[in-house]
Amino acid sequence: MVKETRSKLLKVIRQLMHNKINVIIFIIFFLYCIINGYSFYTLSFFRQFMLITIIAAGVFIQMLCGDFDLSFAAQIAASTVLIVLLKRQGFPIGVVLILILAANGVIGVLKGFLIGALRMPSIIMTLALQIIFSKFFEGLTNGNSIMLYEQKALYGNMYFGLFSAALFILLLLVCRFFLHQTYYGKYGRMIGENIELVEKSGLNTTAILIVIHMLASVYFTAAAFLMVSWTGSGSINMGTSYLFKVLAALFLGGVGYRNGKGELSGVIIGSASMVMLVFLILNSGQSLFYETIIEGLIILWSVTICLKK
Amino acid sequence: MRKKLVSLLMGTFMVGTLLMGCANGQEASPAPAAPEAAAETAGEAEDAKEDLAASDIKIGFLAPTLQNEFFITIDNGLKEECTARGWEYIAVSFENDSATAVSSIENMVTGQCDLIIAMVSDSSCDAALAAAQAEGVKIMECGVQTEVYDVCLNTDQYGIGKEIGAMASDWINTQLEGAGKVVVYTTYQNEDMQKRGQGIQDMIAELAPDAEILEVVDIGKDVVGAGTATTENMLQKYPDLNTIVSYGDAAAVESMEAVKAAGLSSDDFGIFACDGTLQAFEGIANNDVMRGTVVFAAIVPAMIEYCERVLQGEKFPDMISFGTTQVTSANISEFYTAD
Repeated sequence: MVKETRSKLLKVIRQLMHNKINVIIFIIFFLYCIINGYSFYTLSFFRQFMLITIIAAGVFIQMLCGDFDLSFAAQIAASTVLIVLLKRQGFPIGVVLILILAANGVIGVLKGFLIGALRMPSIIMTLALQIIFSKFFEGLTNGNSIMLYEQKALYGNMYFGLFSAALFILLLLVCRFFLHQTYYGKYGRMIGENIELVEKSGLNTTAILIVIHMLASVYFTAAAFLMVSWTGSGSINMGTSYLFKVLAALFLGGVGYRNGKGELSGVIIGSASMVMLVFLILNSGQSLFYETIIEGLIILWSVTICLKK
Repeated sequence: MRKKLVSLLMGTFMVGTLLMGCANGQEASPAPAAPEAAAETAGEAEDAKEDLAASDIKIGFLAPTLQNEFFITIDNGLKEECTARGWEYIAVSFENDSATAVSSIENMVTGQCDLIIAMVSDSSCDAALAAAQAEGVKIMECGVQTEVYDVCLNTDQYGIGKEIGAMASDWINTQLEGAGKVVVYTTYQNEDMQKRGQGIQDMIAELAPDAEILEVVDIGKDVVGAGTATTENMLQKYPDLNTIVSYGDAAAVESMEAVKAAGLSSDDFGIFACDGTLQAFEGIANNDVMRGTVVFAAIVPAMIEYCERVLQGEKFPDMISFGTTQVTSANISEFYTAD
């Protein structure tokens, strides 16, 4: 009985230790916000954190089912261009968002179909999509930013800040609900672990992948909308620097490479860590080239660990 | 185990940042002593400068790219000047991504920069710059004028364009007897560069009326590789093309290499631009197809001078203009000597 109690105790301690670091990180994060209060520091940190987390959540959903999407940054940038172009044509913002959601939804369907039905390797397929998006819209805009002159950027607007925070929380709740309370979320993880087994069990993997990629596109649309709102412009370059940042955030947060492993809490922690990392590098006087190098090392290391397992 | 180690590492990062954040939130870096009015005597001005030098000043430089010579030169110059004054200096390239620019501005403010030199391309960062000003950070805009700045260093872009056009026209009339077949490289990404491009066209039309402007091409703002790709296309599209006039040396130098690679380098091909980069000077000195460039008065010393004056409390509501000089083979030796 003593042995049983001891082993249970050890198990509990181990679980606490496993979660302790996460708990500590969250406590530190909120302490930082409380100490700085409602200030520029807190708000700017939150803003960057929200953006990376929203994008990372979309990519996370795709990675859980074993897909590695390299086109999300270009998709987001293309969405910013479309949002501005449609807005300049006089469409109300609600209609613009519906149209962009629909467009990104179609891209999600395409991705799901190509990967699920045609068995294209996701890396190759999304790399090709990235090239297509970026060059098409670069040709459309000559690589230039398009300004939304008639609307002032909403950066710093308190009400929009509250709206962004609400949108952020809603998207995280949707992600959690999808992963834990719906069959698609569970099947997605199963596909990530072993797609052949899922197919043999009779499930329609193509349909599951389509739904997953369509949901991920919702997050990319949200990220594009926020970027346009904050800068009052759209550009094929907008957000392209987030490609490796987001991937590094995901791997830092413990999301597995093509094995269906990972938790939303890890995505959140990884995103917060990336924002901190960029801040530390910048203000230590080092060139931001080191940021890209570190991101690459994180990705390399994490993929190596996953593959070894 | 390794994942836990990574988490622990990240936790350490966050602790470190929290400590930095605590310091940032609780203290402000000592502000430089601002004179009550503009210094009236040389002695008072010297005292003010000494106060500035003694303060913990941190300068942030926000550049659209740090991959072309023009911005690299500015970055290196600013680094030297700041080091000489004992100031801290950080440089960030936002790679023409406004979202990254906004984040970089935020990080510079959070990192206690006293002044941000923002060489932005358009007004997409204005809201972030205004927020930085609200935090007490001074903003210097250079190369483009938007609505948010404490000092703006720029120049009459239309006038610059006219100078580039004048150099090109002079060469066309002298070397080609007026029979110029011209392509103009401009960009519509920002208003200032549009004015420059328009100045080029207007001056060529005025001084070289027999020259034909085959096409006006938007090559984007500071897009690396745009000069090469566009020139290759133009050379194919217009076989009799003999003059390229660009709004900036970066694209012009790329064009020079593309023309040489196409085997069209001759005394009857000319490229003209602006910025006065080393590569452009080399091309002019070596009698390559690069024939002329417009040089600004020393940019970095002007930037540093106005950094000091703004930090001392002076106000500059109007744009400050840079002087310029045309550099061709006639006067290249004053600006460049081969090692």
